[in-house]
Amino acid sequence: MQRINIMATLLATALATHNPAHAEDPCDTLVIPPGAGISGPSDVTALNFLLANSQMNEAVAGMLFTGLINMDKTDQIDYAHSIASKIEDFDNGTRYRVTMHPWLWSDGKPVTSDDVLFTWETIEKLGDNYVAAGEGGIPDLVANVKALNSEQFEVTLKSPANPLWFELNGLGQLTPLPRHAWGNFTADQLYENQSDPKFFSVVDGPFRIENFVMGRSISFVPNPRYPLEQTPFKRMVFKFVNSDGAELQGIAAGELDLANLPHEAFKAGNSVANSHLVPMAPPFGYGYIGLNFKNPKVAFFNDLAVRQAIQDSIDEKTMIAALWHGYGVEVYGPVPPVPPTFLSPEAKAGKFPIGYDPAKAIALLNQAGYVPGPDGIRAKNGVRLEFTLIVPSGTSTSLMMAQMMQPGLRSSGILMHIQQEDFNQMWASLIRHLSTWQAYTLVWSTSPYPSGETIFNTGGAFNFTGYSDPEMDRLIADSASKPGLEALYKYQDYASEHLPYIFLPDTVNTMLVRNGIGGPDRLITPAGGYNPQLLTLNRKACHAAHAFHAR
Amino acid sequence: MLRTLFTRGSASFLSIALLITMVFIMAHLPPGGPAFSILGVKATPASVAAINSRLGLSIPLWQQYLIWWGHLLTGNLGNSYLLNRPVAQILGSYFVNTIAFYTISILVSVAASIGLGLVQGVYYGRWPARVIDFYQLAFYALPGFLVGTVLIMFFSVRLGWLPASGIVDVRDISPGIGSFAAHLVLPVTTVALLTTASLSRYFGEAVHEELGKEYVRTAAAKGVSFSAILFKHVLRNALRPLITILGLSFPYIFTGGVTVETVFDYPGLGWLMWRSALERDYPVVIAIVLIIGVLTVLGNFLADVVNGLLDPRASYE
Repeated sequence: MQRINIMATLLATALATHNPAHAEDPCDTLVIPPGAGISGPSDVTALNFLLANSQMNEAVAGMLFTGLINMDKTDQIDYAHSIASKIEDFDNGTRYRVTMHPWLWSDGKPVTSDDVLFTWETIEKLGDNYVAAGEGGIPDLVANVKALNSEQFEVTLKSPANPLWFELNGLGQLTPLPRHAWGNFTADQLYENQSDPKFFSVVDGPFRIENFVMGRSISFVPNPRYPLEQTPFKRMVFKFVNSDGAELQGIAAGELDLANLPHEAFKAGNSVANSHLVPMAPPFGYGYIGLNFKNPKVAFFNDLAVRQAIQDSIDEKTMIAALWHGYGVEVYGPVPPVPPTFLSPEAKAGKFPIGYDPAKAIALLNQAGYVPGPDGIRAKNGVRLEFTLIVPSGTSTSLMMAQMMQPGLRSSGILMHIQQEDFNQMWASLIRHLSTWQAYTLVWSTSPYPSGETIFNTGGAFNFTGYSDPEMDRLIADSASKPGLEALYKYQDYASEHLPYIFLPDTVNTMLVRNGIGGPDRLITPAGGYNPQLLTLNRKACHAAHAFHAR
Repeated sequence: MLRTLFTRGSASFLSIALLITMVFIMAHLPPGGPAFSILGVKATPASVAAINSRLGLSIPLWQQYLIWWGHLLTGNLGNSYLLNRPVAQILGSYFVNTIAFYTISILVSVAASIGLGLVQGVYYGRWPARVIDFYQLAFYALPGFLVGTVLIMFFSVRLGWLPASGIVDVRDISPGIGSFAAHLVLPVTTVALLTTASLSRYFGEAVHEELGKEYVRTAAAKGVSFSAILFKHVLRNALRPLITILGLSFPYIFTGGVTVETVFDYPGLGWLMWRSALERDYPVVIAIVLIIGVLTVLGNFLADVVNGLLDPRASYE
């Protein structure tokens, strides 16, 4: 009985002392799940962008460190929000001179070209441990990086490159890091300290870390030395949540101010009081099916007619309408259509060589000699058009997309089985056992300059499908080395026709935003920039929303 | 007694060592590894190899196993591959959260089980017992995530009385004990509702059984009041099976709590273990299994000790 009394007292104390109205003004603190607007829930685990590759970690790193180059909504360099103020190229794209804005670290020391050199030296030191090794020619294409003075540095390449390609995909990786704070640490110490908030006390981005409680939350305060837009919030907290449902509950209960709205909870989300729905800019990427070109059991993937028939059997329009309530973008090539900055004239006009056309799919397979069997599944030389698609578990959208593809493929005479695997296992299989898997589906985030050297080039760092086509190699090499966009256009038109991947639509994330919070459309840029400092606050509306929840 | 302690201690150590060995092997069996979680879709064979080498995963498994034991014997649980901190440091905060959560949940469950069990035993076959029967069967069958979600929808979303998730209100700069306690109410209620359903059933049956025994009739014939019989004699005897069941329930309560912790975003060991298993953070998974193993052994041992105190006839010898 005494225990019951103790518990009753505890409950009474909890209810009495828990004051949802808060001692401070609740509108001073913005509470959001990590990476709201980018993707579903996930924790922040590390703060050093050189070492940990997750969208959440990258988003936080971008809040702490201003990029040498930041991209705008049209996927072009936003010099006003970049450390770089000017980039000049010389010697046919071999030498690049970068001039930097005057900028300060949070401890008052200037950001200099020496800090860029420090980043470069650290990348070199990390070698294959650097998470973006191989992208944009970093580090292999670079002959040297040298400081000209405190505000200018020069990068010399081993061979000429398309300036636009190198500036966006290569130079963009050289975000300055504070040599005066980190210079004495070894590579091992960088690893050991990558989740220690004290280690990241010197920053030059719009925020400083206030606190980082592993597995629970990370909070930020404005960096007063950041020279551009200052957030109207005194604090910003990324509260870690475990599931899409928890995000929705969080905003409905007044605990979150912004939350991703999963497409499957669209109806429930639309009815949450004191909040409104905001569609975000689609990420610069696309869904895709990777086909195993090296597995003899599915050797038919090497037949262009089969790949084109698969693409022609997928109804992207219906998929977007049925699964994503219309919030999606059709993709038929390796360059995401939004923003259209890098789309070829053909793609801009919507003239893709392959798209949804079931009749054409059947005609292609007939012409290529694939004959329907008794069950309608086609075969040639005794090999049936039958394969297993691996879908990452944990995301119902991927599974539903795959299920929606099945009837269309079956109508064309192609049998697709679905097998779910957790991401870790799936990715390990893809990399290590090229002879066993048949096809998989994932989402690819494209580099700011959407060339294909890492994914479609023979032996490319992320070419796990074994795709190899000398013509594709040549076009990719041209797009990375020849100035101008013409080579990129040729590459993308060729890829749209020859389908090294089966392209799938790009989803548009939608967010639930508490009334009083403005500017969520400025939160992200297509190339992955994360700008919570651009969110605005209408205090009156915010107070009204909080009062509703504290009723 | 000392011999018993030594025998039980040795057996417990062997059980835990065997458990750890099995978990160590099973954790490493599925394809994949922490490098894929760290690198995500940007994992390449070269970067995976570099990370595996740095984490000490490129050497044979039996060597990793021996190194792990070597570290453990010096009190070192290793470093988390993903969170980049010593495992002991990470577990510290999760462990405190878990202990607070489950201690309160168990106390509430035991108190509620005793109350409900007494009513059920005394009113056996009549309507109060039937109502309790209904609760027990219903909540024994219900999954934790469903109960938790319904509680959130009602008390947090609809009424706005209690927080839906987390451990403190992150909006407060210095959240106090009130915030912590408020965040515990719904998860504790969820676990207590589910645990009480089974514990109270065992206890109710035990009370009913004890009430039918001769010593109860003798005491009543001697003029001892019913409340004295119930609380002084029946309660004491009926508690023994409850305590044994409670001791055996430790692993169930911990693992069953994973879903509740997930629903409430409660940063406890169960949730950490689940996430670490998905991301192949082997040192964290193994350390948590070790903790749960030790707690289970301790729980069973404590149950035996308490049973021995309640009834001297229950001896280890």
